Amino acid sequence: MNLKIIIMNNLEIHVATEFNKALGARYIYEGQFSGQQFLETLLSPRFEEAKEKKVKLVIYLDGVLGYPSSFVSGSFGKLSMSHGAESVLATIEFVSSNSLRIEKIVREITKPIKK
Amino acid sequence: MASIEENKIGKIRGTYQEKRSGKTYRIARQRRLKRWKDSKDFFVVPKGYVHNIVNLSAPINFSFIEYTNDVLEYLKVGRENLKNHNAIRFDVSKIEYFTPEVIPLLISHIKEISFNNKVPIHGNAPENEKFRQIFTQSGLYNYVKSKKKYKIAENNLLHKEANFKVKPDIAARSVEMIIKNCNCNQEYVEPIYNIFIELMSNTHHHANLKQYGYSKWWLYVFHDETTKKISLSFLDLGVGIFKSMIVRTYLKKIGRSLKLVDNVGLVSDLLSGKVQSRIDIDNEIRGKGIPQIVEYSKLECFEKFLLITNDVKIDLKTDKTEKLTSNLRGTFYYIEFKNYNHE
Repeated sequence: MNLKIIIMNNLEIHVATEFNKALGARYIYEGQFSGQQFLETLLSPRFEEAKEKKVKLVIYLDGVLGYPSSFVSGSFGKLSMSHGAESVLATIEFVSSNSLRIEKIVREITKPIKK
Repeated sequence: MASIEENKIGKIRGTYQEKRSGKTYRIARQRRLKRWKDSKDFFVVPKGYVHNIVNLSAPINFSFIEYTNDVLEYLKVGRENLKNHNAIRFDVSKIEYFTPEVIPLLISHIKEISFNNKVPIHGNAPENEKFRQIFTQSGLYNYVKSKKKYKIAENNLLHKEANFKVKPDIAARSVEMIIKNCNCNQEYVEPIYNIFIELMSNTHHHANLKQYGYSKWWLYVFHDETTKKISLSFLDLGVGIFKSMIVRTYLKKIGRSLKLVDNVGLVSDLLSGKVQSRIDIDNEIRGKGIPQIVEYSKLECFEKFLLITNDVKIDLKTDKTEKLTSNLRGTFYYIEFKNYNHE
């Protein structure tokens, strides 16, 4: 009997190379490289794909000048609000040499609402 | 060849004559003539529109961060004169003390229609050689009419954002300039960059009550060649933070309307993100920008971190708050970076 083993590769997002080194604010109308733009063009489609394929979405955070609060809230916060924090954290894995960056984003996903 | 040219000219002439004989053209011409004969045309400048030129001598201590009330009072006098159609001259020739953040403050006011009232504003440069150099090399002369053109100093940046946008490229350029000149640790790149984006974004949302994304912002990065210190001034001439915020607590709301609670009493709420802006979208997830700026302001790389808005001046490093006697119609941030070159 021939067993066909399919290895499903994790999906990846390299923020600095696939999106931009200098990130913007929250909304598209505020200017380029906003959180909303990141959510709509990269994060949300890859997240859906990863969930569908039942694989992890690995996001490489390094190589970027910074992650402004409004960008994080407009992308990861919004994703968490629409899919739930548990589902987001179960699917996404973050890679960065700066642990504070990961903490900041995870905090936003866990608690996207201000109060 | 000549006949082809003549044909072409003839064609053009024919089209023009046809146009001139048309009904629409004739009516427009009659109207133009009537306006001209009645002398009501827009190009006739009414006599006495600008009454006279008032010379306004700048305060001897021309520093917005240190002598805030004096500088605001100076601008107030300018505004009143312009409102009365008196042209003014910002006379800074005799100043004896000067800090460079007044440059973006002055130019932003000069270019703001709500301030200049479309009345001419004149100006000069300080007599003091060092101050004059800072003035001429700041980039200010690129925004005004001047007989002479001056070269901007290499490590200075004066930027006016008229497209009402958050500009990551400008933020990146400024961060690079700051890190390079103060020899900061790379760990500060992220906080400084994030501060830039939050400042720009706040302007976009809080500067104008009627329409967000309407106010312009100004950025001035200044590198002092003598002290090797670098400072950043960021301002918008919108309505100011306190005027744009909604007070959430019922008691404070009543207190504010009865003028029992002034803006100083609302500072702690503002800094902790407890106040809400008048923008009604995504209010449950917004409002993290100012608390983040406050958090970053405590970092060692910042020597000074001031916020001046409406009638309040806040030292974000020490949380010291001062009520001003004059009002700034807008929001002004001043950041001075620690110089690590000597260490």
